[in-house]
Amino acid sequence: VLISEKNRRAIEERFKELKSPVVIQFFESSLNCASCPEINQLLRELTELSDLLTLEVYNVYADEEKAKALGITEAPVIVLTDDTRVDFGIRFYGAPSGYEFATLLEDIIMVSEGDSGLSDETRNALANLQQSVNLKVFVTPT
Amino acid sequence: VRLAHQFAYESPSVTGVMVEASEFMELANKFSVYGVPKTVINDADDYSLEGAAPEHMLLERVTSAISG
Repeated sequence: VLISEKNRRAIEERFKELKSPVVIQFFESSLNCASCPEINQLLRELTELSDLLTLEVYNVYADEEKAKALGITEAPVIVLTDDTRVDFGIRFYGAPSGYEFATLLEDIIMVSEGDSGLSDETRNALANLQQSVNLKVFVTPT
Repeated sequence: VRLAHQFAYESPSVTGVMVEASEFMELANKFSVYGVPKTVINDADDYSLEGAAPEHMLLERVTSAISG
């Protein structure tokens, strides 16, 4: 068990806020992915904490078409979508551990509630973007 | 990372990617990541941000990055 009983209860409490279904897509690989089994287990334990959460596990090579459609060529990668599989562009390359586990929980709640929580100013500016923007945020495990 | 994901969720034009640097070392080396968090915009180092950035600062960098 990766999520302690205490954390499990705290997360279940937070997940009571969830409104609509969220699908977590996990792209793994059996080769050169030491962290894949642990991430898979973590996501399995997490998605058991609410009926609105579903985990879909894909192999980055065997399910190449699915991976390519999302621009994924490596593992481990996590993609958050809703139940219509809309790609919002939310990605985790590598394990969401420590502080980034909190990010994952907040992201799940955001997608489920359907609100980014950003200021009106930011929303307006983003609505007027004329080009695609890729943000890569590098982190290390905490 | 949370803010990048909020931007991504808000706009269909934005993709927000957390990259765990020790697992994706090649990518981290490519963008000369020596300190974290580091945010790289459109794979160019010119507008990258080191440290946690508040919402208005990330927005400002994003708009400068795409206006050249």
